[in-house]
Amino acid sequence: MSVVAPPKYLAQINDAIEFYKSVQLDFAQCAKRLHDELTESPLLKPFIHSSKYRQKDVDICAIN
Amino acid sequence: MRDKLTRKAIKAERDQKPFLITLKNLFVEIEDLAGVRLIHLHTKQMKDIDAAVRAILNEARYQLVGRPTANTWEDESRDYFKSLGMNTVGKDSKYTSVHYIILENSRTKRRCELQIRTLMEEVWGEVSHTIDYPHQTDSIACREQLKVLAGIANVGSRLVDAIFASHKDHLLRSSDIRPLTDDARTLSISPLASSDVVAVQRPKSKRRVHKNKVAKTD
Repeated sequence: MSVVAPPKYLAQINDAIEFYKSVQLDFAQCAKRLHDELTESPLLKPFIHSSKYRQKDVDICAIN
Repeated sequence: MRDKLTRKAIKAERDQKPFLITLKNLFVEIEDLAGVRLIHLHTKQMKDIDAAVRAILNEARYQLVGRPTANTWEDESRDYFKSLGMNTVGKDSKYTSVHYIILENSRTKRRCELQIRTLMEEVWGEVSHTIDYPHQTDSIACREQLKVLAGIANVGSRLVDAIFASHKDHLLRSSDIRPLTDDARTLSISPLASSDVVAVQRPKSKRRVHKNKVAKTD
């Protein structure tokens, strides 16, 4: 099910998405760096069953 | 991203408030553009995990934004997370997970959401995410079944907590209890018949004294 934005905010939303697209890769790298920092630490390793990381996609929601 | 911004715009209009997301505050208002999720086995590990996360972030010069938030709907878990100094939030959807908002250790302070949850919670989260997020399913049956699954996941997490607590207790007890026949062998005396005595509890210090004695004799 998709939702439609109120027309008066459409341009604002499109601008925000274009801006995010230009730095999306930076967010992906940010997530990976933090993920590796945490999961590779011997302090946390004994407790971790599994892990994931990702940046939010432009058109769908990535993580809750 | 489009969906999230659209929902925020609709909410702003419905509440008759301005939609305030701009290019300047986009990366502050939307905190989960980067996300990390860690899965662990049982709830009571969270105390050690929280300490470890804080130590790692501190060492690597990441910063925490506010206190972590525990999304939980069950009273006992709420008390546990509060005792760890976390904010607690109850979600109607029965979503459970601990969230940290972290500022990157670089000049551009990007925000990243760290989610920590148990394996049982992950099962509910993945099923719910597939059919009920970000838009609630129209099926009443599915919504009700998701609530039942949340209950099962919660009971499952509690059971895993109990199993690990029992296992730890068992290990502690068995390190102090030796069958008498083993002790008898160490002391070089004739073992009793196994039907006579099942086990004997003995302080560890006595055992150490005995070992030293043997070493000197040798």
